[in-house]
Amino acid sequence: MKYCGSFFFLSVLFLTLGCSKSRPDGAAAEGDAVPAEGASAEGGQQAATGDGTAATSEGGIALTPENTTITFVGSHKREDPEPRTGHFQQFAGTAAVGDSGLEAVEVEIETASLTTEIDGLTGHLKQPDFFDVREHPTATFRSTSVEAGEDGMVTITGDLTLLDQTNSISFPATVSTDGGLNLQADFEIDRTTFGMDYGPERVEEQVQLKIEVSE
Amino acid sequence: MPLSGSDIAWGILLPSLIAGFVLFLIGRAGRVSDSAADDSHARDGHGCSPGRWGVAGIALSLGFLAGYFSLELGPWLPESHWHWLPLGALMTGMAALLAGVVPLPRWVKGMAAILLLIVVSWLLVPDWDDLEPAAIWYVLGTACLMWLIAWQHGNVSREGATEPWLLFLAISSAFFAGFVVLALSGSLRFAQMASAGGGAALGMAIVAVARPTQAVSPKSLGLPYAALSVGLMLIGYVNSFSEIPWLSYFLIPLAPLALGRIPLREAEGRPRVFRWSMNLLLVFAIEAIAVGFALYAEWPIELAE
Repeated sequence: MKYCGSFFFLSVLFLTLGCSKSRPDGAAAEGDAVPAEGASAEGGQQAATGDGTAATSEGGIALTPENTTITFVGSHKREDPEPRTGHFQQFAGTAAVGDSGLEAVEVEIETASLTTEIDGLTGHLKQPDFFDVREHPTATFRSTSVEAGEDGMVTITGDLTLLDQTNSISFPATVSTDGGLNLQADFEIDRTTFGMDYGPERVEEQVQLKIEVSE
Repeated sequence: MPLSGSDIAWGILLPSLIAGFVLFLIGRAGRVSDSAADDSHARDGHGCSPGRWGVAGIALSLGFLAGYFSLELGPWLPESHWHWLPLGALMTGMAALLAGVVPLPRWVKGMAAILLLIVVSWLLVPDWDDLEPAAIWYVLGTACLMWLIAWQHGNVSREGATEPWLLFLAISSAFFAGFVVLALSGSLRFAQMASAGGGAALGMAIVAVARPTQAVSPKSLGLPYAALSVGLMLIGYVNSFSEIPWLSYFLIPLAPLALGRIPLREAEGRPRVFRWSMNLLLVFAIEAIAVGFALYAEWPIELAE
C-alpha cells in the first residue's frame, strides 16, 4: 500500500514525460523562407520569397545558403589534432555593394542548423558544451567598417555575437564585385572570448572560420 | 571519450576526498547536536544522533561542488537553467543538515522538503517556448520523481536492509551510470558533473567502510541525491539531440532504491557478502538496463570529438 503512492507518482511522471520533446533540427524544409533581421547598409528592407532566397533592395545582395557557405574548423590539442569541420545550413544576410565595392555585410545564423560529418559530433556541438543552440538560437555578424586594400583585399571589421556575447573582430577577405559579389575569407577567432570555454585542455581555443560568397 | 588525468583528479578524486573528509570529520567529532531527541532517531537504525543524520547529505553536496567548480563546469552566477544545479545541490544539502539538528515535527520537514524540491525543479527546467510538454509538466514531474526518491531513500536506509557504505556505493554507481548515459547523449560537461557526484559518493563509501564505528547515517542523503541525480538527468535530457529514450535518463536515479528489495529471508545464514552482493546486483542490473537502452539508441558509437 505504501508503494501505491510511489507508483502513482511514477505513472503520472512517465505519462507526462512520454510526450515527444521538440527540438530544433536546424534543417529548413525546401522552399521555406528564412527571414533576415535588419536592413542593408543603404536602409533597404528584405522580403522573403518562396524559393528560399531573399529579394534585395537596391545595392544589397542577399546572402543565403544557396550562394554562401559558412564553415568552421576546430582542432584537438593533441599530437594528431584531427580537425573537425562543420558548417551552418540556415542563415540569412545582406552584403551592401556600392561604387567603391563592398561596403557592409551582416548575417544572422541559426545555430541549430550546424552540421558536421559525424552525427555524434553534431549533437555534441549543439549542446551547452559548445554552441548551446537551445539557449542561443542565433549568432550574428554586423560589419562596422570595410577598408579596401590592394589587389582586391579588404579588411572587414564588425561585431560578432555568439552565445549572446558580442566582440569586435577584424578579418581579411578577398572581394570581387564585378558582375556580382565574390568573397572569400579565412580567419580564426578565439571561442573562449565568446563564452565557449568548455574543454580547453582538449580542444583548441582558436577556431578557423571560412566564408565563401559566390553571387 | 577518454578521461584525462585532470578529469580524474579534479572530477573524481577531489570530490571523493572532500566528501569523505566531511564525513570523516563530523563522524570523528561526534554529535553535532543532541538536543533534538525526537523518536525518529530511534527508527534510524544506525545508532546515530540527529546531528549525524545531516552529514551524509552535505558531504555529497560539497563533494559535488568541489568537482563542479574545480573543473569549471559552469559559472558561479547562474545565467542558464542548468547553472542552478550547484545551488540546488547546496540548498538540499543544507536542508538535510538542518533537518538533522533542528527539532521540527516530521510533517513540517516533509512539507519543507516538497517545497524545496519544487523550487529546485522550477529552477532547472528551461523556459524555452518550444519545450514539449510544457515547462509546468516538467517541473511537476521532476519534483514528483525527486520526492519519490527522497521519500523511498528514507525507507531504504531506515529499514536497516543496507549498510551505509552499501548505499553510498549504490549511489556512486548510479552517478557513474549517469555519466555514461550523459556522455552518450552528447554532453561531456554534464557527464563530468555526474562523475563528480559519483566520486563524492565513492569517497563516502570508502570512509564508511574504513570507519564503521562512527555510525554516520546515510538517511540525509535522500534529498540532495534526489535533487542532484534527477536534476542532472533532466538537464541532460532536455538539452540532448540524441535518440536516447527518456527511460534511460530517469531510471538511473531510481536504481539505488532497489537496495533491500530482494527478500533475503532465504539468504539468512549466508555470509553477509552474499547478501550485499545480491542487493548490489539488482542496483547494477537496473543501471545496466538504462545504459543498455542508451547504447542501443546511439549504436554505432561515433567518437564525438
